Amino acid sequence: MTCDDLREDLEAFALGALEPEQARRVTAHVRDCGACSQIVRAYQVAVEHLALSVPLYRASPRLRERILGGIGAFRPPVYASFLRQRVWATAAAVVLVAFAVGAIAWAVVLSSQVNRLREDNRHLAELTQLDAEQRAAILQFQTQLSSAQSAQREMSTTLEEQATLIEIALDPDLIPSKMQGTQVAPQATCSYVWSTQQGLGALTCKNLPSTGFMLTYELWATKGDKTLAVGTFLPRDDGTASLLVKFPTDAEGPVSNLWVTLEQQTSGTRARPSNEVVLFRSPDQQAQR
Amino acid sequence: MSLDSPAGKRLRIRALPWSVDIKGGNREEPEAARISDYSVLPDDRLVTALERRDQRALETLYDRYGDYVYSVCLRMVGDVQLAEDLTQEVFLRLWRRPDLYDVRRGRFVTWLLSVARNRSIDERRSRGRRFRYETPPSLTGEELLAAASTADGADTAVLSEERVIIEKALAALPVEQRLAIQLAYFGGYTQQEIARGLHQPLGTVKTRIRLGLQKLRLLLIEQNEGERGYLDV
Repeated sequence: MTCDDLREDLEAFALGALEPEQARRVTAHVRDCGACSQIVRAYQVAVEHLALSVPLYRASPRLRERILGGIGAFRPPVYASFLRQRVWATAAAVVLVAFAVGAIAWAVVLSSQVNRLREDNRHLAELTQLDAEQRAAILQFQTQLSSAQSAQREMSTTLEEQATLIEIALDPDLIPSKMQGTQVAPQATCSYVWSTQQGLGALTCKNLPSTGFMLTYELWATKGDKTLAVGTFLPRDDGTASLLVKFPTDAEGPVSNLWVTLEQQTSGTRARPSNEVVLFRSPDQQAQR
Repeated sequence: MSLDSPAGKRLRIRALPWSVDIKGGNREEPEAARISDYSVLPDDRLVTALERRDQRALETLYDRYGDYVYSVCLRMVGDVQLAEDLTQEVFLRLWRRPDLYDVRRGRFVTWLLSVARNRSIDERRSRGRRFRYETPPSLTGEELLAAASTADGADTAVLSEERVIIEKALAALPVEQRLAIQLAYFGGYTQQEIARGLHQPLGTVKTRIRLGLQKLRLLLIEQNEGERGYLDV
């Protein structure tokens, strides 16, 4: 394969985003092509810095103990001192008696010392590992408990939301609207209902694709002459979603348009919608309130 | 051999992983042992000390970069316990095989974080994780910390500046390009998998990754020149 054949794949190769077969072809080419190899290396350097963009979390202090305990606690300087004394004593014996007899005695003594110390080291590592395992088990239990508590809180919120949706649905003067998906989410549909009695609206959707990293869906409305960000929501695992709608009291006039966009998650309020429209109100319903 | 001869004056014992030099009765200690403050040593010297089984060198490297390795693993696998296991693996591998780091390939910290990333991707694949859009792990605010508070040493202060540079560069990318790059890097997904998952044409995803990386590289070079050259782009 030539450089031209592969030029468009080099960036993705540096990112590790090629299919395996493609990656193998590029690897084989880059091995022999200095120019392409330089290009790949230049992009790899940029890619490697992506790791620095992660949110920074503090690891548990127990992790440090686990890691450093796992490499053993044997201290060379202490043993070196002991060894130095033994070397002088044994070297003196070798000079006095015979070099061969002294070397054998020296080897036997060292071997015995090393074996005993290795045994002590193994025992210490086992004790450390056992302690680390017990601590890891406790940490895992705490994590599971925290997850269960979060799920319970989420369930309470969902039940409350469901109760409000039922109240809205019971309004005899309910004004419904349908929304359909764009090419971004062709299978998605939403129903929007407004209860004049409750002064609340409800948006329920299905077949919504999951959002990407740090993205969320946002409902927009044109009310009077204003464009309003109504609220954000995320789909559940089954692709459904719901959102309770309440307009600000100073937003007057009828709702002439409704649409859903894909937005970046942010702590502030957006003034304008993005161009990534996911759902829009069906044209035949645009004129309705 | 007489101990007074030039050769005899230097009796080297190699019975153990480390060696001790005896010179006329004076003990020569390994170089790193003469330094009391390991936190001022640069990364490559600490890695060299690892080859002499210097535990303090590993401690220093962990204190310097342990939270970064943990954060990358946690970002990618979304599980605290698994992230801790992977972090332990990365550092134990470093301890056992410090020779795997080649200074010619770039800075130690970027190499270390690449190891963490690659190991995390392998772990995800071995667990058969299906393509799901990533969600960041739900941790409390207390567990988020500023880079400046993680460890001492000049290197970490430089790392803080680099984080600012890369974050600015990423923020300057169009959201679609940033998303595609992040899915590939942090999710380990291929272009085809990303296209399928986002319901977009493959060609669109390819173009976004190409243009996004080209722009990212240029932005890093520009900002690096303006920020006193912290990065090695």
